[in-house]
Amino acid sequence: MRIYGVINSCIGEAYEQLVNIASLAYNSNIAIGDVHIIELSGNIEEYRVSLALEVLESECNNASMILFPGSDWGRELAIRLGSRLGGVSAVDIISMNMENTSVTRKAYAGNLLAKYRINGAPWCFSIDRSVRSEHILANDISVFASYDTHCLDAIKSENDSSNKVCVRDDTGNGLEDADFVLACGQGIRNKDSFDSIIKTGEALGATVGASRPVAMNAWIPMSGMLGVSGSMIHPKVCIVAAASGSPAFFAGIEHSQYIIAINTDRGAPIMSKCDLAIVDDAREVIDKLALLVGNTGDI
Amino acid sequence: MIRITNCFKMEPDIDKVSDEEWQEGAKSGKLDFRYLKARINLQDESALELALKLRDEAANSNITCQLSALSIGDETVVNTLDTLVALGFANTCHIEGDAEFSPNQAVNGISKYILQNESQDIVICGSQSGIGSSQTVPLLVAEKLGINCITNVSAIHIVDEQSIRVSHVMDGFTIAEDVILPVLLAVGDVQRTYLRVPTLKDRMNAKPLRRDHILLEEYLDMDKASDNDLELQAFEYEDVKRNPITIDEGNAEDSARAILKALEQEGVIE
Repeated sequence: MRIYGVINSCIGEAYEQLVNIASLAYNSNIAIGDVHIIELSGNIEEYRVSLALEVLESECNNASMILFPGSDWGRELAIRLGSRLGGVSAVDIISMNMENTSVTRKAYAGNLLAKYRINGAPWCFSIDRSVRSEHILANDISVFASYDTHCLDAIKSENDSSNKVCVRDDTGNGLEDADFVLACGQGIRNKDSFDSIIKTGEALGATVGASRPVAMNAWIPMSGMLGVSGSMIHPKVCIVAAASGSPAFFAGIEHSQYIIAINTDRGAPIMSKCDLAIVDDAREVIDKLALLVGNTGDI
Repeated sequence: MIRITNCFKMEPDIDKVSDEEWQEGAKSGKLDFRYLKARINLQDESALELALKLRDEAANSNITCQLSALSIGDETVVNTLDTLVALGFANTCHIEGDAEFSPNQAVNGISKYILQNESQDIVICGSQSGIGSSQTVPLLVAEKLGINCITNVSAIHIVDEQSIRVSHVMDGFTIAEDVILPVLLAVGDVQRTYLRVPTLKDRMNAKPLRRDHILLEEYLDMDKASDNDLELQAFEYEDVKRNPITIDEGNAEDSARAILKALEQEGVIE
């Protein structure tokens, strides 16, 4: 089997992408030393999907499998390259079973896992962002079969777009590095209440994030969204205030060491997925918490 | 004139399904959500509203846009198509069938319909469904149609009759660029793009140029390429419960004290 892993240093950290690929390989009993790495490099302003596909179609024409890390660019290239090579593509693969040629990925907004048999070849898969094996060490990623870099800036091509402006987004308000996160849901009811809870949360020393409905209502910038479409965090503590805890949201906070949920609905999904469940009004409890912490002089 | 086709799907509101129902459904392999209310896929809804906004903006520059809507699904599609006609969509097509876990079928259905009719300058849809979530359909449709594709679109504006300015998000970057038509736009999460509601007068005056109704099976490709696909085998339910301590005293101060104790124990607050 000829296996390729593709990383893109125009967009994102190369190391993290390599770990994501190596982790899936390890979990699937594929030797990391059997994976050939292709790095796409250059400036994001010059990055063009058409160029990347051109390079990959040429480099991977003998591939059995091509793996892409969990990312927007990776998903797009996996699908389009799979189509151009006449193979099979899928995104956000959680696991792969080489013996029965199957893959597993999420379905029904993360409520279930779906197992699929792979019919056809080559396989072009992007890996779920959360795939990360604790067995992969820094040294492991230096033992790939080969490592080839292709600078996309150096390739001339016809431009199908112009006046391109690239702006780096506010990186999740520091959510992904925070030790203490306050995650708010639609149960906060309105923007004024939400603004108030943000101030209280920040006074407590928490970084504030929110569920998808809150972000879509524009109560918080999109960079503050938690979940599969937003930030995936791993703080020491996450307080989930007035969010029901849908799987898509929970996927963003499930790696928190300790989860505290506050919700008036005892039956909300989050209330069984946390470590401490408080059946109460989130706004009132957070306000009381701020007073208590203020009284002990810790903020 | 700029011709725009919106592809959308109706989905059951699965937020209402309990953990126990998911568990049972995965075990039995029977997942029937026809009892749930159907709603437009959230990203498809954003795509519909963005198309309407683009039409309105284009009109200010004396550019006409002709909007068409296409959906693969069951009879729950029909009411939404009526709403879209009331909002000014000129043509509609209902491809009757279920392609939810068969993205290749959806790709074939959409591509064939578009290729058989007038060429479109913009094809626009949501990036993924909330059911199968394959995320493959928009990109594979672009490949079949041989047109450029932009994913995670967050805004579109008119430049002229041959180009539009598209903003899209990619892994922490927002990119804005002028794009020459034709193009397929896969819309991501866009704040505050709920589909507008037609007035009664809009509904009474609604008159589409064309309404098509086709069976999906008429569009299935039997060539070898369609055999290359993922074949759904089974579902699995993953239990991520943590066995929590539950406090239900109804007293906000006691609740806050319990949280403070936990924060101190976890070393977040001293």
